Amino acid sequence: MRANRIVAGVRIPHPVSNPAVAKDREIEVRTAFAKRALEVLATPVEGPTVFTVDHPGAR
Amino acid sequence: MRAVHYLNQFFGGIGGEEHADRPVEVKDGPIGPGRALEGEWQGAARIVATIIAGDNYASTRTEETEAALRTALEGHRPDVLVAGPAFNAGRYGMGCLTACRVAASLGIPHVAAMFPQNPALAMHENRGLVVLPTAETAIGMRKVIPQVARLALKLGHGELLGTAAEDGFLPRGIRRDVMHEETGAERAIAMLKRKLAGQPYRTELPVEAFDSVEPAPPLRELGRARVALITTGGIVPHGNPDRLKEYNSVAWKAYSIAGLDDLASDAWQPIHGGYDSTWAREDPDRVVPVDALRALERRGELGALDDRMYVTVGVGTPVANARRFGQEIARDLRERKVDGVILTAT
Repeated sequence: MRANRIVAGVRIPHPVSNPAVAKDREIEVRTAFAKRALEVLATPVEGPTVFTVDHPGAR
Repeated sequence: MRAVHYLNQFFGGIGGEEHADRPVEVKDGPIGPGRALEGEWQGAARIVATIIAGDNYASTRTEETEAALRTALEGHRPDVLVAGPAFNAGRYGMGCLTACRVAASLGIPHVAAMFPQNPALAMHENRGLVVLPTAETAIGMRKVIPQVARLALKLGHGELLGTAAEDGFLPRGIRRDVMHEETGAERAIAMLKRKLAGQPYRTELPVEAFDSVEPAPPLRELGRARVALITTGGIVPHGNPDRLKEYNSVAWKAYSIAGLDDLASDAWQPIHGGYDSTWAREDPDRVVPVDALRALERRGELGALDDRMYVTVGVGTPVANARRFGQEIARDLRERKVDGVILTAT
């Protein structure tokens, strides 16, 4: 693990989404990941750091 | 045994930087470090010719250098080619490894010597060559010459090299099948017992070390930032027009997502050989969230989503390839004035 800004994903085959969530709500999970990734890009880090997404579908 | 030696203009006794443009020339017998090699060999081998090229010439005019080296090596047909040592001199290192590549293409065994971080070793085409590690500067000459002499003799006699650890050269990333008396399970248990007992043990499968990267400073204003997407998840236009490989990637591609609201499943598909693609086939946005980012772009939460999506397939990819992809993509991103990148990996 050498990337410096890491957002912990859902599963390997769908890292930024969750097919277990109701079809019409799945976009909310992806949006939560996209927003978190943008926030993380604007966050200073010292070295490899793992961030999580605060959304019920994000795990 | 007959050896040919490759040197740059400095160690070849022609002169310093002012002679760095000198083309390839061939001289009879040993010069400079070559004399030290012959001293080690004590008559067991001799240097029949020394090939000398200027550092600039060898590092910039690769084709001409290769052609001249080929002519010289075909003419002398040595049992082994020795190159350097080049220490941490990048252009000299490139010349040495070009000489080694030409020798290898002619079936002539080769050995070079240089500092492990010599930039020439980072070049893709130089993977797999036999290179002994040296100190950073010529201070290490005395120490490395006996090692070069020993390995050159071994190679010149047609002996099979041992492992990198046994013969002291830099690991080449090559695996060779060998027969063992014990099965893998027995060897693993024996290794574990030695480890538990605090005794030295050596893995048969070392994990490749990764570089550390200095963290980039954070983006200041997301509302004005241009953000691009990269994925190692192998999402490509339907039908995989560029024939990206499903594993062991050798290339990356940039695809236009200009004006797209999402990655539609009839236009895009996963071709990754390392994960169950059921969910990505249904909706490729599950791997690259173009739909979510496009919506955020419309709401002004980021300045712009870049028109290019960068794609490769991350499974069984040699680190050297991955490093090259990274360098090439980073260059492209910089030219396109991209401020930040979201890379999704599967």
